Amino acid sequence: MSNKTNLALDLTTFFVFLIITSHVLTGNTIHEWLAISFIGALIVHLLFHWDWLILVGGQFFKNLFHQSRLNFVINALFFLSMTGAFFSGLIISEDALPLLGIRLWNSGWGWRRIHELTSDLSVIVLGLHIALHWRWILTNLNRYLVQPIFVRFGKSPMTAQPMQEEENQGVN
Amino acid sequence: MKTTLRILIILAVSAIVSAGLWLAVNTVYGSASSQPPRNLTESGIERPLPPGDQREGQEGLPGRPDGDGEREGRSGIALGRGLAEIVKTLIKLAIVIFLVLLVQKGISIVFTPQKQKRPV
Repeated sequence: MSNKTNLALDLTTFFVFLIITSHVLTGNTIHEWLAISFIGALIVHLLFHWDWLILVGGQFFKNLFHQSRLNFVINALFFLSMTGAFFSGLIISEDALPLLGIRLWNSGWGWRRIHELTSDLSVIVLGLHIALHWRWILTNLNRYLVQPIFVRFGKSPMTAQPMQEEENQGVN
Repeated sequence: MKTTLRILIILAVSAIVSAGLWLAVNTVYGSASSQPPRNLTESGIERPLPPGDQREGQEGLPGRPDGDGEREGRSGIALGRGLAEIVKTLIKLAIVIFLVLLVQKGISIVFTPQKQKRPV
């Protein structure tokens, strides 16, 4: 999968995540449906990086003190917190699931607190996830977003930092 | 076929995590997690809240029908609050990213061997 496709998916996912976190902006119905579609985006993101998951997951206990290992732990935490947020969100769903004839509200009073907790945790872990991929993000934003804009307006493009092969494969 | 299998694996792991969460919450909170909110009956029908719990003054001024201006004002406030929430999330993310980058920089400075100065 090319870096450009990865970047496009990641940026879209990030902006959708931001919109989902603002419950007041969208209202409950859009919040719920957007979150359900976000599950699909996360699955695609995982599929894009499946080989890396298998590679690092298989060597997890063999090579200690490696950044890929830390990445794997952070990614696993993010997966757990997002799964918790989605699951608790589905349980307290007031619009999306009732529209499909499913009503779980009666079994879900304490779940609103869990939903808030896992959502807050997701934001923090996403920050860690972004920070660990910061160089990759900056390099590719510069290459695929900033430079083309400069070229289009006839100005001299900023020089991109040399892309390291390990960033393409090892850190994702 | 391969992709379908991978999607199924992801969904299965999610289902296991969700089941664990369900068990944990039910064990910790017990029956409290299965009680409906005070304003809902067991069948999910809304019932009036006690007088002390009712929200007052949020639905506009009493006795005045909502005009377009008021409605626009309310949606404007909601938009502002929504954007403020997004900015709050961005600030949280920026703080976490900044701290991690700072720690990474610190680690790289500490663990990078310094070049010894040659004697003149």
